[in-house]
Amino acid sequence: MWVWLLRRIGQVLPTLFILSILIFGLQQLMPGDPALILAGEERGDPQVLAQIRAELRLDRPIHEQYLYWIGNVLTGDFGFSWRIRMPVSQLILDKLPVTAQLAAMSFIIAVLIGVPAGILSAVKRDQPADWAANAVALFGISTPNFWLGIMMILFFSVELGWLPPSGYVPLTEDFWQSIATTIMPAFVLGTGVASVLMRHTRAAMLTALSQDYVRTARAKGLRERMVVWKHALRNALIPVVTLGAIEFGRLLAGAVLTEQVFTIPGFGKLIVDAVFNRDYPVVQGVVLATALIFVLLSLVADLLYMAINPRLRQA
Amino acid sequence: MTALLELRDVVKHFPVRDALGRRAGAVHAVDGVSLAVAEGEVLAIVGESGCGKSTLGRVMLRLIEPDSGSVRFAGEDLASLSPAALRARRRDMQIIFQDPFGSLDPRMTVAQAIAEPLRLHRVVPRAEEAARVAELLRRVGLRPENAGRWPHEFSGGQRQRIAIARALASNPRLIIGDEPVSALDVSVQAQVINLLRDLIRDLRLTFVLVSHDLGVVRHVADRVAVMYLGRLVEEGPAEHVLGAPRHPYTRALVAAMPGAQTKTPPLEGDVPSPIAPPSGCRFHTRCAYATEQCRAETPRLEGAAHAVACHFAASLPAPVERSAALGGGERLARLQGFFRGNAPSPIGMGDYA
Repeated sequence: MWVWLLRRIGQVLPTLFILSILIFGLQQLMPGDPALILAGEERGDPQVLAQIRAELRLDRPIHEQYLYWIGNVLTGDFGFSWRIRMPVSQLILDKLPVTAQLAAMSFIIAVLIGVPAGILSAVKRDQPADWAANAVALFGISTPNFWLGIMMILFFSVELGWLPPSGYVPLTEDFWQSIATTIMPAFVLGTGVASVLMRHTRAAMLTALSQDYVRTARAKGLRERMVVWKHALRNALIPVVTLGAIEFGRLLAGAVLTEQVFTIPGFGKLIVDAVFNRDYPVVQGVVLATALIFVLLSLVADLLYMAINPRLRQA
Repeated sequence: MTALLELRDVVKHFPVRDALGRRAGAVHAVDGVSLAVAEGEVLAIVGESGCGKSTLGRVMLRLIEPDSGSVRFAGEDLASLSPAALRARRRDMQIIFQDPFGSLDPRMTVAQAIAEPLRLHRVVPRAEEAARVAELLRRVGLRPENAGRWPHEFSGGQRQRIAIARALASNPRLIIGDEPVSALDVSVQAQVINLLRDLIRDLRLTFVLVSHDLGVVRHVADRVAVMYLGRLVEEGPAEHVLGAPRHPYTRALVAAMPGAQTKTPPLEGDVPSPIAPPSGCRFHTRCAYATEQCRAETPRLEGAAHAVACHFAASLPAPVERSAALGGGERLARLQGFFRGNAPSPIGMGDYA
């Protein structure tokens, strides 16, 4: 078990290393000169430009820039934002709770809708409930988030005036106000994930329900409800849990469009702003942090998988 | 002996749908089968793949609802029972499936799987549960220490023993074995058959063995019912049906056993589609003796002890008498003997023939 965990972490490190090179390399390909953007009004003055470049080490060879950056990252220093003059780690720590809250709420909505709908449509296969669930899932997968977001704002904020159309209030400030500002984006994000979870739960349940051990459970004289919950669902959830962890990772990576529509100051908005302003340290830091979250979550998914699947537990 | 299980005119068709979900026909899995299984008897249902024998086995336990016909268990019509009463009745009738890798819930330990029916039907008080599980494991030849392990830690034969222990847990009166050994290696088959035979004898079980393997059948069965395309074609005491088969289909099956010495030609062609079974006698497309009458009229299953459904059962040439036990059956018997430890090693089997 511990050996496995160590080996698994050992696999993570090269992944992160390669990723850091990719992040660094790709943004060099971005058009536009950060020095020009930072110089603003004084962009015509070569002396100012040279000064900015020297300050940001933009005049050094790429590999030197990379080594300088990665060296600092390894000591926990993600550098300073060129534009807002704040430590990148501070920016990330500021935005992470926002995105985490949004992701958690979306995920809860997704699980509450997706898993029961998947079970229902598997149990009521080829009946109206199944058709309805599939139609809704198809709608959820194929509706663009920004459109659904705009429609929700139009309906709940503009027409009914129930919810604030945009903005964000932190949980620590006012719990209910915080929920009110995030419930719509969470719903928009959650429905997309719910559809994916529903389809996978349905498929896994159909597989489980056709197994002999389910037939055996019925033959034992178990109630149908117990057959579905105790035997079919417990087995069907194994792949769904893994998928759920990955989907949660995607939610944590930030939802660029949805955060823009609802002007939620999360990861998505942070990275979009940073890209438009050629704020390299922020882009690098956010992408690396996102990758780290993803890798950690897939590790958690593996651990969960081991915990619920006895076949993987020994060895 | 009274009938513990009685089937009358049982019909089960599975609808076949086209791509648009329209009903395009039906698989005639079971088409008017009547059967009785006496208390303490071992009945084998034999036939080729797809003849409906597994469906029939499941209909017997009402795991599948028949379209028509009745299934009576201990004098009680199973269709008349409320869902709750049927669940309670399941204590008395259990099933062992073919694939021991699919029939055990991978997320339940051996003890949990065996204890579930105990708890469900309150067979023993909770305090005695562990002891009962241990006893059942011993009964099927597994060490009780295995109770806490997971199904995937066992081999196929061991898993099938667990499945048998689970089936025995609620002290059922009837057990249906749906090809209980065909997924196992031949050497393991012999061990599991021995086990089943001992259990049937010691516990005085009524057992319905669904199998395509006549070698297995002849070592366990008291009576044999032969199925072809959803219908019974022959039924009677095992030694008669296998020793002196009267239906051309049974003759062909018996002749196909390894080592059989009969002049019956082997079966040719495939089984016709069960979606559109042949008219009249369903076997006429492959029968060497078929006439116009066979194509038009459906033969009835006739005869008291040894019944046969063939218009010409009386006039067919007598099959060449088979010597008592042959081929596959003999080999299996020797393996069985070997695993009982009272026979010479089966190595050097060539010298017996």
